[in-house]
Amino acid sequence: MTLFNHIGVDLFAFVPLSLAINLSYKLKLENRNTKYFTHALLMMLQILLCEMLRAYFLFYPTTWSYIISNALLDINNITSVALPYTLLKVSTNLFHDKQTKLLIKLPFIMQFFISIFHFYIRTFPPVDFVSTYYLDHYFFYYALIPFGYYIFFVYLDIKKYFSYENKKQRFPLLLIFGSTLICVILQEMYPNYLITNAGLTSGLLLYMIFFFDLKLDYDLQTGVQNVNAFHADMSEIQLRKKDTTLFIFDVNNLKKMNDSRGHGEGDKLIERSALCIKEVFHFVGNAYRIGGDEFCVLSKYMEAAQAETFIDEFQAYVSQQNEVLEIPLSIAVGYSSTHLFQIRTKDIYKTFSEADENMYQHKKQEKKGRSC
Amino acid sequence: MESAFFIDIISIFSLIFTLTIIHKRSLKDRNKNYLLIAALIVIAQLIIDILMSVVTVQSQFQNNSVFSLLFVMRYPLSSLFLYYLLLFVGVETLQKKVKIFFAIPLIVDILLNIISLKTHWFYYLNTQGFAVRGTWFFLHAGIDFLYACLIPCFTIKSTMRSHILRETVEPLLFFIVPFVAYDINMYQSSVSIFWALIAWSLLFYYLFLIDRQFKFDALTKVRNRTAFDVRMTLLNKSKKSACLIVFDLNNLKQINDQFGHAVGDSRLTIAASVIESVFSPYGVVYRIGGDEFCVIGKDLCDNRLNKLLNDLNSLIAVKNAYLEFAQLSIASGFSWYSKDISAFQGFKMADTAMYQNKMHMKKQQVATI
Repeated sequence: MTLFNHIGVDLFAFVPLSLAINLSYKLKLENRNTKYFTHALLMMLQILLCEMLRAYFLFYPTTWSYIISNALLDINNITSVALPYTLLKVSTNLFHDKQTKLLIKLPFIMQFFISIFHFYIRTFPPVDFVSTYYLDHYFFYYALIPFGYYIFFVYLDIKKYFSYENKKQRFPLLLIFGSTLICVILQEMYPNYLITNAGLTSGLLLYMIFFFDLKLDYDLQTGVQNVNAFHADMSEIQLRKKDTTLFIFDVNNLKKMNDSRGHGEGDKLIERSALCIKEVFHFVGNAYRIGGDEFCVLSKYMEAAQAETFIDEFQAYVSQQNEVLEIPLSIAVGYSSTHLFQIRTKDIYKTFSEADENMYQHKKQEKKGRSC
Repeated sequence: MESAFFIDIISIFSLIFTLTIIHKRSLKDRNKNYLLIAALIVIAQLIIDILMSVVTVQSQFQNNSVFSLLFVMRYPLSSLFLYYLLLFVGVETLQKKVKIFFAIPLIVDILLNIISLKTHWFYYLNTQGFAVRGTWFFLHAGIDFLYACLIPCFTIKSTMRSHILRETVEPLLFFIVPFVAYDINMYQSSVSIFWALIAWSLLFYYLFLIDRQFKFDALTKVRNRTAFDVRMTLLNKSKKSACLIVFDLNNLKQINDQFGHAVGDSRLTIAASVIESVFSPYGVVYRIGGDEFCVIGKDLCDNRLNKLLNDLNSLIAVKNAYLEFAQLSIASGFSWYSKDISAFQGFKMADTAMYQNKMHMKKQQVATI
């Protein structure tokens, strides 16, 4: 067993790490929320460096190497909790609430103090130092908190991305988590090699790519598809001459809400309306967010009566939701159907503007009704 | 067992991930099949690598003819991989005849590899059943090297048009990694991370491609609003001076209403191609709105810009001669920005200049009628 062989996988991990840093630079320019990725990557870099240094001191021991390697381990223990904690910030909006914020932070603080405490108790009663697998018997107790964070992170992510209509991103996500899991298992099987952190690095890069790729087609706030996907699908419909029905939704009072109660409430309003649309039109077709407060559903052709029943069902669902919510939702709907297959000259965007017109009339009617 | 074993396993996962992501984007990349095949070949190579490291440790599998054949397969597969990558990179420029021409070295290589089973030119099997390089191995290496040099050439050719240095250099970095890996393999054949590095650079290359797709407008094939915003923020930080030219298509809405969106789209495409053909030596074209384009260019003087705009107008007149209805007319305005003025202020000035130009054109139109 040579040092090179021992840390070889960690050395290689610098390839995915540098790719990930490059990617995070690109993401940073477009989205501010992704700065957490950069933080996570820097932590990963520190973990890898500390791990390799520690391995060096274990292979070539000097008088100070024992204390130094222990210190390095404790630093790594703190960072390995901080890493999933930062990742949690990327994928969720749990951090609005002050209580949950504290609850999530608590294990992190605990680990921090335990690590410092551990450094002292281990230095004075020295443990024997022969085994090559140098993570000592306290390790599993240590690993519990970061592992818990990871499990929580994975659970939240699966819950979030599995609620998307399109099932195509499930497999890549499972692949990412599966690959890191296999790396942990391999680490248990071959304790002479350092594998886990390299696996985590590659997993982190793949997760970032997943995120990046998803952003091309999805609106990450609401989980429905975005304008790019909408235009792509519209042009496909135009090309294949499919018969379609178009529903357009417009969330009323969004601007008022943003001005009066702040953007947090406005965001919640949008998220809730997206949920309602998804819930009702789930089996009918795909939903898209095509503007700040506008949504669209593309579905197969349906007769006017059928479309009306769907809209009624939708409004009933919204009013049912409104009974529970503090801020009532109000969504204007318009639709239009077209036989593209029979009338070949017809343009799908014309249908779109018809649906838009219907929606505006509905909005006007609603306003009139309220003023009466 | 070597640490390369674990590296190979991690790389296989990353490649399968890449495959699923490529597969997902079905409509937008028509040439993705070449990349898919290339990635599959790399997975095969990685699996062979893993098998090799297992066979080295466990002697009961040694001298097994099935395994030996698998190890021999590495050589033709590497040429095949490079050929498919070449097809993917150069698919826009390669015609069918040229494709067949480029396939000749590949076919020669595969044939020679098959013959080598008997004659031992490229390789022979040692006592443990591993393939060892033979006397004529350099021929195979030469063919691979030929392909490996052609691929960067084609990439440079396709990215030469862009004036942003980052975009030209980045794909080239992707090619340096395999060359370095090849060198490591040459000197120290025990460290077999060559294919693992290839796998990661494939992932990186695909990332580069989708990043480009994200920056470009699908309809007009020029850069889109996102790319424009990023460029503007970067320029604001860098404090360099340059010129901004804003273009606006007149009457696009009328054309859309009167002749349909298909005609409007075609006019947009023509306008983008005209603007790009005139201004591409001097700057980068962006589509920043439905009917608005912007060029961020070098620091050109007033006279030069006016001359270029005249060129543009004459080119539009030439194009209009072919169009029977819905003729093009583009309003334009330009401005500079430097240390004193921010890029956004410069853009605003160019925009107002464009509007003045538009009003002027409208007045002229009324006068002629």
